[in-house]
Amino acid sequence: MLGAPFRYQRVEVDGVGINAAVAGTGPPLLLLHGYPQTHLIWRHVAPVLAAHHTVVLTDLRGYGDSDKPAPDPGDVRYSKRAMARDQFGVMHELGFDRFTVIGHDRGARVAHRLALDHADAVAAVALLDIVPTRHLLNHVTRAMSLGYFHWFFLAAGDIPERLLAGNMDFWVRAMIERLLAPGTTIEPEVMADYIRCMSSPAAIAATTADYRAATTTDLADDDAGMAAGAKLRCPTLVLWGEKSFVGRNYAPLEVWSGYSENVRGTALPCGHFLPEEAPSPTAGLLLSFVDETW
Amino acid sequence: MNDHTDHSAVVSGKRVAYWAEGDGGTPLLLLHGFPQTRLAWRHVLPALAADRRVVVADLPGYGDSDRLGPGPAGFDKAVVAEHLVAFMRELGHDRFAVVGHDRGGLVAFRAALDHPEVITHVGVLDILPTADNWAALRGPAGVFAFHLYLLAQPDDFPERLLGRAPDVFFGHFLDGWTKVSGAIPPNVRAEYLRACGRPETIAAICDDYRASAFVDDERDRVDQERGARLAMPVLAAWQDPCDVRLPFDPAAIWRSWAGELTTEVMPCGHFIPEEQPERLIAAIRELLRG
Repeated sequence: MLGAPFRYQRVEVDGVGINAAVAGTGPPLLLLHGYPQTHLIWRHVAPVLAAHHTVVLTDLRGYGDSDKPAPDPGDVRYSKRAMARDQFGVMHELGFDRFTVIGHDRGARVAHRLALDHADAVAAVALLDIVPTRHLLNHVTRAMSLGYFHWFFLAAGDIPERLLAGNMDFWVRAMIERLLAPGTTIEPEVMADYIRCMSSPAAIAATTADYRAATTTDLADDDAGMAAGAKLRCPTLVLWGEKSFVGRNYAPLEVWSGYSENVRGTALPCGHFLPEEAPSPTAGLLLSFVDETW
Repeated sequence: MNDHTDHSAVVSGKRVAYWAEGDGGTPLLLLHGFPQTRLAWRHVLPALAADRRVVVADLPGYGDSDRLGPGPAGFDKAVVAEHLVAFMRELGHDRFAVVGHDRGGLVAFRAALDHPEVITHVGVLDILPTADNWAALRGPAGVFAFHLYLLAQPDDFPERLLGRAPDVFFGHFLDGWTKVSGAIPPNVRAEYLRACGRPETIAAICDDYRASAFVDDERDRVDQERGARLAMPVLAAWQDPCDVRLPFDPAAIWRSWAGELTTEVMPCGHFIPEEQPERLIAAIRELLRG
């Protein structure tokens, strides 16, 4: 848990309880984490942002201490659309009808969908270390499928749940360590909390459904959106780790310019976990982005 | 489970575990796949051995055969093919036919490409050449091939993950890829799990898949670019995809490698030698007549 000035509260959105921590005053920022993590990824960045802004940190549906509804056969319940609706609802409940959303990893996919589906509410969006789901899945190469092996494994029916049950300590550690730049570590108590939150059968079911949705519902939603010309129109900041798979294998600004009309961004000297590996530059870039766009 | 006599030969210091039965005709080598052993040929072996010499070997690193070397290099299909050609020569067979299923099919394909003077006929079952396989996997279809990516991960990661629940992992494929119920009875299934679940076999299997990702793919592509072709009669059989729309055309892919090609779509799952032994026996007899 984050200490003062952060205060925790549970926000119910359409019957799903979302764990949220709030601090600061000023223009509101919503921060979303990725897999296999929680809002704690922002522990170094959020206090810096909260000196100037209202900062809302949540756990995504299915993750952390948020509710984990049982997955449905159509993968709708863990579509990015449903996960984005939760987060829009949280901000609305907290009284913020216009805000900036910042997401890392899965949280960035939710942020992308949130900015598309609730364009009036999103002043600006920052996307950390991803290229769009649709781009990834339309450009599967040997390197991509090896680099993103967990996308295919976690989406493969019931085998991930059966193999991971009871082994989440190993899995969560391995999944994080493989993407950290060499020489970086996560504090043991933080890692322990990531593992705690991922270990229940409900969490394993929810988080695998998140990945199944990427290859089914989300891809269909993204294809339909692109066919209808739905690009991001709000200011879009794209940050990535120069040592991450994204940094080594994609030209992120070029790719994102196909999905947003207003893109800027840069690489940071780290691996995948920008807010934990390079918190100061990450916070600095986010602050100036929000200053320029609010 | 079987009443075949176990043999082993030592070739270049590495043990090859095998069965050999029958006499006469063009000798035939049968090679199994993942996650199996030579036991996969228990129905096919006696039928074909009625009128010819049939040898059924465990692939290097699988079953009771030694791996050929450390790391993925020990599972380079060119190295494995060379080794099995030497093994057959050791048994007195300078020329022979080879039929392989799954991983065994990759070895059979490579043996036929690299040793046209040795391999008289080749059969490949429910497999594509590695380069074609990587090229064919596009979009979400990769979900059906997740093991290719998982098993090729570095740093002992898959070894450690699978090692925690090998029966769950290997059982998933044995059960999920079978359509003819009862084709892999409980005692056979248990033997596959025993054979594949040993730490050294898990490590071998992971290196075999790493070889496919980092060695075999390149090698196949070089051959593809120089227009290499299989010089002997080829049988390519695969499972009927039924209502799954394949993101590739197996017949077109095999036609790009083979001049004298027979194809057959088998009404079963992945484990053709155990699910459709009668049809496979007939198809192999037909191949060997060519």
